Amino acid sequence: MISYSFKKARPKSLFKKDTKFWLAFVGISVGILVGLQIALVIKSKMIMDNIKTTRIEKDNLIKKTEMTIEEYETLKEHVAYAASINNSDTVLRESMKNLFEIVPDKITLSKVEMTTTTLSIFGTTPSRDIFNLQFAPALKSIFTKSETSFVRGDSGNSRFISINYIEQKDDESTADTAVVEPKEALSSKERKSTGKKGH
Amino acid sequence: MTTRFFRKFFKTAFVGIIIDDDMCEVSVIIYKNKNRLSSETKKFQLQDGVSPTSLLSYMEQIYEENPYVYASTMLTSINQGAIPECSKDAFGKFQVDSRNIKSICIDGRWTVYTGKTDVESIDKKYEKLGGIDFVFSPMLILQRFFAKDILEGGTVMTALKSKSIICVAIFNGNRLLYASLMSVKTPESEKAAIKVDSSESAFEDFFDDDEVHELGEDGMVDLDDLSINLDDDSHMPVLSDNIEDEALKEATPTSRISLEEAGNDLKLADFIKESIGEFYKNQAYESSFIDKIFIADPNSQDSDTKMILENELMMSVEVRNIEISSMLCSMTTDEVQ
Repeated sequence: MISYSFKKARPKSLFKKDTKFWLAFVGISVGILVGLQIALVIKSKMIMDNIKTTRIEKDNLIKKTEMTIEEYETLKEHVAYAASINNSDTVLRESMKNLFEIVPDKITLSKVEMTTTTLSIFGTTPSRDIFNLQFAPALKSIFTKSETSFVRGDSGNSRFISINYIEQKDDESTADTAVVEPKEALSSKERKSTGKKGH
Repeated sequence: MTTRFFRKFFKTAFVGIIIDDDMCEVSVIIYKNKNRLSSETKKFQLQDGVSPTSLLSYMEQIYEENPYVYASTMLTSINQGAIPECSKDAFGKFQVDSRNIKSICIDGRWTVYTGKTDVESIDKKYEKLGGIDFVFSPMLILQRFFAKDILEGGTVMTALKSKSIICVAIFNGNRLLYASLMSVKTPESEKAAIKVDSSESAFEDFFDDDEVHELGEDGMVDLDDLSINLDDDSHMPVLSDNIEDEALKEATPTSRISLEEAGNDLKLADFIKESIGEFYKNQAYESSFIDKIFIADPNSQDSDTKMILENELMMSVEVRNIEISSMLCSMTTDEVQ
């Protein structure tokens, strides 16, 4: 548009200077308030997020704790089981040791079978008498019932099989406990142990 | 763009202000969405060049009541003019120093110009009145005011007579052929002389040899002028009045005004004569026979300008009353809308 004036029109504003000042003041105030509100909302949202994260972490930790407790319980059971195995092994070792200690030098064992209630001993003896005199009384003192059968061997020695029974009773006397205990340990696993003793 | 949009919903005031010597004329047109709501023109008497409180409060009221105010004025500086060409090289041809001037090419045919400092000083001058948005050249006002007569054909001389400046412009159709401007501000010493004189016999004072000589020195009045005026009593009402002391005392303020006006008319006539002479003599201007002279006079009602000029120039002169501030208003409206 062609202007015929030596001067351009001053920029016009709908508001007067003081109105502009107040509007600017109100605007800045509102801006600050809105800014604060936004900051608060953001902060609150961050806190909420943190709470949510913490809650999730807490739940995870609870789960982990539960799992750890479960693992602990399992391990505890395992430890108890291991301890019981160890204990039974010790008892078994002791029983075997005791058994071998009562075997006379002249008798040779070729095989020992041990169950919860029975002990089967295979071996050779120079003579039946040696067995009956030196080994049978010891077995009879330990076991309830003891049955032995002999077979004459080629070299003059007799091969024998001695099956010894023990009666298991819940209200057994403490005297029998020493003998019974290794049998209980063995019963849990139905273990079959074999051993040889050569002299 | 946003201002243009918002202006549809709010009142826009177009204000034309013209400070002419000791008078300030303010015209206000109020628009709302291109509908003219009101218009008024007010005149304020300045006290020693200072804006009266009534004027300041009136302007304040305009700015208070209207969200958008566009104010304009006419440039009354002597450092301005117009040349009949638009190219920058043309300034040299018409002995105009083109440095530090502001110029506007009008319709691609002619140029109005003024000093940059003169435009800046306008801001200071009108600062207390709310400032100025547009400054128009008096030549443009003449073109606008006599647009119809100019377009009717022939070469037309137009002149704007105000208390502070006299502006002459010769048009041929849409083309400007010549323009000239002079200051008619009465020097302070002369004003004082008139004031002192008014306490004595106006008749005797007017014919006082010293004063006639003083005016003659300015090149505005000569003895021929006086003889013309004396031929017809009606030309100079003061001179034809009863010369009784009492009547003269009562008529003293009017006499002073009439004397000033008569002096201005003579100055105008003289300046027009000078301008015509320059127009015909100077080869830089395209010569053309002047068919008619139009004078725009803000105080034409109580002036004998027409008679004085016709006698002086021996040409048909038409004097029309102009309300410069209203013209400025209308030009501002066009400028903004």
